[in-house]
Amino acid sequence: MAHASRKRLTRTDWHGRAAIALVVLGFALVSWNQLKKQWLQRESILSAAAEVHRLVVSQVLPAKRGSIVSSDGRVLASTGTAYRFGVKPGKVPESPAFYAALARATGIPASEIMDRVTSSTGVTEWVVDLSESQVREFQQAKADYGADGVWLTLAKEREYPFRDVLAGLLGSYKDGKARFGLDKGLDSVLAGESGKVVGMIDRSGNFLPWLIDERDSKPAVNGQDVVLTIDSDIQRAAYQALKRSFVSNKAANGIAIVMDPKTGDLLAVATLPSFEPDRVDRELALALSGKRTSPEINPAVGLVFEPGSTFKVLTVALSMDNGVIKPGEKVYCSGQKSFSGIEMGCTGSHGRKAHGAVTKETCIEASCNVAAATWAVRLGYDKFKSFLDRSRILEKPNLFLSPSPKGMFRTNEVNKVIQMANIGFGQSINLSPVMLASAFASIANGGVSMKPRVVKSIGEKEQPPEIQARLFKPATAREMLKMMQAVIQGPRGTATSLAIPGYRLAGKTGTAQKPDPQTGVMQSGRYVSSFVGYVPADNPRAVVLVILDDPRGGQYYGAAVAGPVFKDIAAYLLKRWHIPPAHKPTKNATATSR
Amino acid sequence: MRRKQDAWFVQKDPLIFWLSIAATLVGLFAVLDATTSTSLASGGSWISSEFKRQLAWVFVCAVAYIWISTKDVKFVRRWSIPFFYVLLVACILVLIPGIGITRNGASRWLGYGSLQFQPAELIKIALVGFVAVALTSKHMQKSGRIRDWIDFAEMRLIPAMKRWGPVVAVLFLLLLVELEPDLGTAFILAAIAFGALTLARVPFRGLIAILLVCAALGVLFTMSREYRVERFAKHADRWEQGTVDGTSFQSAQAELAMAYGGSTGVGIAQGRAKHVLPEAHTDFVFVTIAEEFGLLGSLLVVLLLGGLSLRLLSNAMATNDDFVRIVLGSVGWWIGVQTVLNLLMAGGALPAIGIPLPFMSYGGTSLLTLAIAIGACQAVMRGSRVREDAHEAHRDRRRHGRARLSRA
Repeated sequence: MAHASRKRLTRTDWHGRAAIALVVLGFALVSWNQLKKQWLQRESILSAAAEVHRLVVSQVLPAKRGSIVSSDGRVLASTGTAYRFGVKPGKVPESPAFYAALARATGIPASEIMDRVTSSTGVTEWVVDLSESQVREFQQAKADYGADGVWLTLAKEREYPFRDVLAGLLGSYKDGKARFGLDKGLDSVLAGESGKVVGMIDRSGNFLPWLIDERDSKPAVNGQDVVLTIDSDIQRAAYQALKRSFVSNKAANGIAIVMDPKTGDLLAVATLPSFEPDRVDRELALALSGKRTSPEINPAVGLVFEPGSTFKVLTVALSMDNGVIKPGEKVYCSGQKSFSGIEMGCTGSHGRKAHGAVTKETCIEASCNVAAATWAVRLGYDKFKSFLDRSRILEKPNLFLSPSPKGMFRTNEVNKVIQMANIGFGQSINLSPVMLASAFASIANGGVSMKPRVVKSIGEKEQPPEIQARLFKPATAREMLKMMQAVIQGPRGTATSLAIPGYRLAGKTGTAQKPDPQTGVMQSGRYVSSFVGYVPADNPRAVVLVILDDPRGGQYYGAAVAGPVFKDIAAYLLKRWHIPPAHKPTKNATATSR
Repeated sequence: MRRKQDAWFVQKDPLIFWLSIAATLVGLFAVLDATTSTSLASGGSWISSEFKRQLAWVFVCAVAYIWISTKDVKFVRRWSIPFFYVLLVACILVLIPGIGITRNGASRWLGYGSLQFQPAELIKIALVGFVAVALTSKHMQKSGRIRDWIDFAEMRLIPAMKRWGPVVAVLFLLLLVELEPDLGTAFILAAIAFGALTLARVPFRGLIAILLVCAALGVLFTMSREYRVERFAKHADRWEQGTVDGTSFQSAQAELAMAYGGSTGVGIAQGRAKHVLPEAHTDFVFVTIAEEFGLLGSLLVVLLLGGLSLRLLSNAMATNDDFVRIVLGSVGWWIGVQTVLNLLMAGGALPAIGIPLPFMSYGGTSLLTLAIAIGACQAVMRGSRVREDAHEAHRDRRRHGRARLSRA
């Protein structure tokens, strides 16, 4: 034995050498592999990984869109809390604890989730309303169990709790895009700025804190909240009042603006036709076929109208300021009068009415076209033009809404006499309702008109009220308010039906004929009914402008179509602001608010 | 007797001892490093439960090592066969539902509660002893005329059974392990058997025949599971968008970790791969070392385990006792093959089939097996004259050389 092994030792040990050679070769291979991967081919491996996004990952951090809030603190538009919770079978762990965690986070029974996962092969989705802490709980469960097959997405991107009541003003935000309305106009402040994380993630997709690239990452900046001047209760009251008249009178457009004359704040901007914010696409389609005004257009700023008789308030006040009306002057109205060869009548198509001897008070109370035209012609084009420039009422309203067309006034009219006569009673000039309201508001603010304001503050920043222009002398404004009380309470008033017993209100009716948009010729039977009113008449807190465009329900007088809307809003405001009655209601009047 | 002079703790080959200690410490650190973040994330302490358990196993291993390394070659020879058969039975038990413990679809564990072990892991060292005994036993093949069936049994059947029994036992073992399923361990077991045969100086044509059988078995086992085939087929396309998160996830992420670590590493505890790879503290423990300590860290691991493997092999070459030669050589070969395969898989050069890194991967049985193996190596060197023979042979060669030189 000993001899044999010695013999073997002296022989070359090929077997042992082969084993050693193989092991050495193996370790050489390993070393070569490490050298290659950690040094020689390092860059190409890193770039291969970068190419399929497996090394450095970047993730967008969405910014939370700001809310729109009313002046009384109600949320008018906000990012939603309704989520779509989805499950895809096959990519979720089959652990009962996981389903229990999901059930806790979503409120859906664990058995129901498990059922869908085991019984179907397709995706199942539930819509659930979740709080922020529930969303966090869900994300925790997803990360803990590394479940790729479950997700949460926002079901409704933007919630508008007031729905159609404010849709015209707020507009729509859908599919990640501000479509129109204030949501679009204020997009730059509401949207905020999305952030980004660039770095490396662990197996559940969470970023590893020390492997985040600080240079390329930035936090999301959430959008700012916007507070409007809109009072949600007044808005709702105005909208409902307007809707009643809009429906019963079959109007094409309806506008009810409630403005604080002291600040220019828009307390309510109700417009019709309106829409349900989540069904905006159907309305857009209807608008395309010409059946309604596009929801993209807010009629309060997006359309211009000939104001009609309400404009007499401005004509008469301007004439008073300029001394055009002599103290105690009376103009004789036979029902019609010729200006530069063109006959103009009082309330032309609805029965000629001779007003007789017309003072400025009667001109407002009884709405005499002849007197208004006479004074407007006497005032003259130049003075009127300078008033328009000074008052800025032809400018685009700046309410963060588009389209917002400018007012229209022809400066190239050959016969300026006819033009001025027409303007006297509010034809031949087109104004956007909001700008018209701001002009009317000056009467209630000592002759100073305030810029219409709908955004009270953006984030922390207040948007202060601004003076638009001084339009009338304070004395003129005071006198004009008194004259307008007669419209509702005077013996010859055009809107005596709007009186609310015990309260002093002021206003002016308007019934403008609608010209054909193509030819400019007045069309018979097509009107714009309007009413401007002041609540209350002494030191008004609100100016209300109501316009109903193209009422086709048989009635078209401002007092009959737009007036009741004013009355409803006025009654609501009086109650809301606890305004005490100016005098005891007369015995024969019934105390109704409608 | 001479071996009485050795104190019980004096190592026959201190280099093997210290390399093993160093590798174990590196492994302990890597396990802690790879598991700390998960432990912290789940609300635990930075000393993870995996680390604590591994540390406990290190103490068990120390006891086992000290005990067995004080024994000698006779002890190893005597207990190899029973040890092997006991574990073979354990490998059968593992497959019986209700007895074996199943995790992640594989039945690999026996035991109760936190005291569990993998028979297929432990049988690696038993296999070394078993094959070594089988290959060095003398089978007396009696010659003579066969007159009746007793003669036939004595002269043909029994020797044949003795010769072929171990082969059948080994093949049976491979099948059992593959049934768990554990392709990685089956592969290592086959490699150990093959290494032992090589060191026993089986003629090369025989080795080639065995190699072909093993290759056929390997292909068969691989083909039997679809995911394995896919891993091999898609390995070259591991960075394609479709496979990078699926079939090739581990390979791609491991390769990425190598590149991300670069030559000097990203720094201690700064690694990324351990947060991404699911087996960061077991089969892919090397990834964390390579990523955090770079090419230098990788080469340190190569040096430690490569050094240990080659030291054992060279000791085997130096002995004149076949049994000692096979035991030392097979353990060295086994550690070498297992290390090389693990490092190639963790380095993204081969698709992963689940082979742990010796001394370093988390897992008590694996560590205990190695402790017994190294202990047994020390023991067999004690009983024989390994180092002395080597020195004699060395001196011999030098003398011959000098003689030749002087003659010239």
